Amino acid sequence: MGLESLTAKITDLEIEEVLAEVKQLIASKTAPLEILAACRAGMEGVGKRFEKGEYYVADLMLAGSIFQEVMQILNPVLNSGDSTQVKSSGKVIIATVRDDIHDIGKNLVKSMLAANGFEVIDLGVNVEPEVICREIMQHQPDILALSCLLTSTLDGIEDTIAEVTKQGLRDKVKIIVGGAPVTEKLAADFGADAYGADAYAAVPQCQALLEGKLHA
Amino acid sequence: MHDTALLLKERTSRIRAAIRLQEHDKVPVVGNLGFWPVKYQNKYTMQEAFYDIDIMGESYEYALQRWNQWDALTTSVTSRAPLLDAMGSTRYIIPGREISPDSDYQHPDQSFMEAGEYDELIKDPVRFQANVILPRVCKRIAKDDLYETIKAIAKVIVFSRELQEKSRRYWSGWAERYAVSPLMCSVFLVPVDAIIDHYRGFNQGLIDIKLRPEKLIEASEALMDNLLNSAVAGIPQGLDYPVLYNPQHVSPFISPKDYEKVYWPFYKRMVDVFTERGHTVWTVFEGAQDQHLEKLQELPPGKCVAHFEKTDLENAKRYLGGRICIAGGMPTSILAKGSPQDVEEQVAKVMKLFADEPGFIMCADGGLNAAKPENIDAWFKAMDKYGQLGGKLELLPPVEIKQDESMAGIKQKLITPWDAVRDDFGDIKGDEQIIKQYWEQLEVEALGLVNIIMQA
Repeated sequence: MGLESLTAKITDLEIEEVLAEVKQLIASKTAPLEILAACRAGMEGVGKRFEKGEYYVADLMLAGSIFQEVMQILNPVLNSGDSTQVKSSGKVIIATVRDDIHDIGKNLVKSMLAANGFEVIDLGVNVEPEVICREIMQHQPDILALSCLLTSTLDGIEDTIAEVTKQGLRDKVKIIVGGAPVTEKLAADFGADAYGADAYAAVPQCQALLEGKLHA
Repeated sequence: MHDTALLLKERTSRIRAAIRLQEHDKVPVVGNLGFWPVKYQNKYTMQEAFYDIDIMGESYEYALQRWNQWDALTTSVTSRAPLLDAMGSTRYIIPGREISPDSDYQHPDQSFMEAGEYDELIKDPVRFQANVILPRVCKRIAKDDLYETIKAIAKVIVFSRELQEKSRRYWSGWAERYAVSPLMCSVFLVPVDAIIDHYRGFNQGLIDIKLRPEKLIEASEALMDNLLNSAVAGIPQGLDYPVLYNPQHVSPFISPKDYEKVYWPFYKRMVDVFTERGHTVWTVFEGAQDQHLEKLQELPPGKCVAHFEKTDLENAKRYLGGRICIAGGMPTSILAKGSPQDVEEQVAKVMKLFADEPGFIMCADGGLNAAKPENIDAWFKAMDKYGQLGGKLELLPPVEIKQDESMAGIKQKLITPWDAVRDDFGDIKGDEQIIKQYWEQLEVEALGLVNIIMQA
């Protein structure tokens, strides 16, 4: 019992124990931001196991679901006014591009980014380039994350990046792309700044983009 | 100059030889055309093709007139939107209906079953599918409005017969004119894929693998008979290829430990049943499945095809070469976005790996989709250059399918036997055998259509 144990239990995907511990920690007046930090550390552990090949997408799905349940318990306390504002690692707009309705990959990336402290604005699926540009202007994100599943919708990624450039927004936002038919070479050809090779890669890639370690 | 009939025999033999790991002359090329001919012809929208098989047929004809070098084609996606509309199916996104008319049809992730309903599924999977799932998926199947339900089913029967008849006519014409046959005669899913595709959805289903594997195993066991039967119900004798197509969606996303627990035992059992009957199982290992390659060594040699999407082919060759025919090698992203030179380099790379022994079929890793015509040209040209094996091609006969008793036993479990309804007929005045004979015959013959309706 305690923050370290909570971190370990999240990494081990022990859902029942995690939820019980979060509730106990809140009851024992542990600072909500510390609980959140412990949970994020646990999710970082999940990511490391995924990168090492010990965890697979099914494990990430469960981890994302555990984190979501934790946040449902934690959010009322975090928003109660007693807590300091949760600091975001960065703001990301995420979308599946025009003519593609697949959202499993996008949703998983979204949940991994959220668990790692990013503020994520999800525009959903089948999103037109013009709509994405409008949302960039409104929300001014640090990063635009684009996804597609079909080879036939690769054009949607290319066209969206072209539209972002045409509207004069390209130097205001970093762009990461991913999805089954996307390759590192295609990402570079499309003019993206980064490529998310798998469900978790977007996290270190987005962190690197914010730290200015990746360039187009 | 070859005559088409001989060319067709050579092509079918080449594919059979590759599957059986026997000597042949060159690496066969299989076309997974899907809806691509419609895009290539650029005359009709995807919506028009998905609603009208004659449009699809015209587009295939148009594409085959330019490229008739395929050794075989995987069966085209049928134009079945009217059937889905008749049922009110909400399972798919249809071009021109929910998405622009030029888009591909798509399968969104939806959950039609709660985690708490596993026991009901396990108790009677067929009735659970019909009574619980079908009305949730299909708006026209309503328990409280039988007239709507009857019309929906009648429309499916009318449409399916026409579709089947036209499809048969198109394929026989293409065999005569272009020496190509459809490679697949039916489809099956491993139970976990069926549960996730049809009931729980991807997200919830993957979490079930982690949180309630025992329920998935029980449900898989319960579903086996129906899945085995629906795969082979109504397959005629004398096909060029008795190949069963098996797309695997879930396996790339689970660990070897989970795979061995909830997935592999059922997959292996199904493969054994089908290959024992004489079928070839063509499994599409979607995504990257390097983690399962070692286990796949246990598949029956010379009776399966392992079609890889993103699995490392060098790895695949290391584990499966000389045991299982491997298929794939051409990423659709290269066909869609690469240059003819990229295509040639890819063919050269893959052939360097596979040209040393029989047991490889070249095909795209998925549907051709957005392939550029000049890349298809480059593909065939490169195959002529790099795909020669130097062996002798022997003409091989097809495998006869055994009508074994185990499958008849499974069918018996799915029908309502005469004894169960005999009392409803009361005192039969004439020959009971006549009534019984037609009752039982129709029960079996209807199973194919029942499957179409249940899976809408």
